[in-house]
Amino acid sequence: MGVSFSFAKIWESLVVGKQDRKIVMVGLDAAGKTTLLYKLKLGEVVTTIPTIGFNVETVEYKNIRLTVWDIGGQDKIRKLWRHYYLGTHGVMFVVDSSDRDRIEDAREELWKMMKEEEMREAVLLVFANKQDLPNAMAAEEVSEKLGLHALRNSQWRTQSTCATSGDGIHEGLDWFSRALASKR
Amino acid sequence: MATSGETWRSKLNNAYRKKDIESWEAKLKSDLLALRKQPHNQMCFDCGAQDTTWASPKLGVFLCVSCSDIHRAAGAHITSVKNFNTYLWGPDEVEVMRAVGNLCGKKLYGTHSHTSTSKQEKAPSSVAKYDRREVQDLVQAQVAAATARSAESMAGRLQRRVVQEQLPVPKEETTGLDWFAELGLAETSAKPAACLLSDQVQIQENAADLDEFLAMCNGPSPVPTTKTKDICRQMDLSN
Repeated sequence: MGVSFSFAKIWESLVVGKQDRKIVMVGLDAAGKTTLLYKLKLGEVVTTIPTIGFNVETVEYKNIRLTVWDIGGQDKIRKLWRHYYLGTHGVMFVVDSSDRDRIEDAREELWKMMKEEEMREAVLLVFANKQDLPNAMAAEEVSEKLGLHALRNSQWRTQSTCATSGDGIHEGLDWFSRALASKR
Repeated sequence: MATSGETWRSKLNNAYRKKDIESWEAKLKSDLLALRKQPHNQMCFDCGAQDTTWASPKLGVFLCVSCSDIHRAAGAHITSVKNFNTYLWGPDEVEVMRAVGNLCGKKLYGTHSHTSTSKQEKAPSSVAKYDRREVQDLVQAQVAAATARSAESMAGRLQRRVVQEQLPVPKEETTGLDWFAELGLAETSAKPAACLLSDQVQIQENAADLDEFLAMCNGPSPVPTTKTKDICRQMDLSN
């Protein structure tokens, strides 16, 4: 029994053990990145302060262990994002779906990032966040405004979410973890 | 997109050449610092904390870091916030901060204090305060006024070219220095009706008028002049 148990453990760690994946979470300021991160990590809505620098947390989801780097999106510190790209497997790009005035800025920042050598093959999960606010763009409209259909090298998906209620987060993570697990 | 032609968008949704915004940064930040030093701008507009490291350029009020979080949750159609370090500021945004500030903001938006410390409880009260039709109409007037003021200037001309023509601007016009000189000389009479609100700027710059303005903000002035009456009417403050 003991032998078979330890064999099972080895088998699990070799075959079905948790895979470690590095994730960068970026987006314009006030998109809801930090709120999402802590909703993922703790299942709670925490009081956040605008992120100057970064927050990092590990989040386990099914058979995958994500190290999520939540990086501040204020305009003068966006140029620091690229210092976090090395070794990244996946990107969570968070958009304030109600902020139609800035979706073009979001598109520019997203494309600037996805063109970087280290990011070309990263799996991209776009969170069309703040769906609770009036006049929020639906996921399909966000995909279109971000020009995602023209992304050639990456697997991507847009998931509508409301970070404060948690709606949509798990659907997004389901897809993300499967897409990440299939990549080596 | 070529870096040289990169545009920068303010929270009031005006586009500028990023290069210009960067070249004006020192001047605009020093203007903001001077505004923050005014006594009423040293306490958070929403909760009264002795911290005004953040501000809402749309509403024109100075805020503490925790109330800035509440504004971020309210929705960008109502308010959005910036600090004075990790953000660039546009001349239009600085104009709104100058025209409103925490003193005048009380008259425009009413006084308000958070009774709860929980974000989920505080957020709806902020939404209720700022997401009223009359408040948002005022905000639009403020934004239009500030935009018009900056549009009269050198910055405005550059901005229009960038937005409408997408053409490179001749080299001799790329400096921001002349624009500030022009701003100082801007004719108030030529402004559209929506700009009346920003007449507060002139009042606050004039010591005699400032007393009158403060009296008006603190209660009904015994003998309001035509000028203050006009402003009150414009701001819908008169009884």
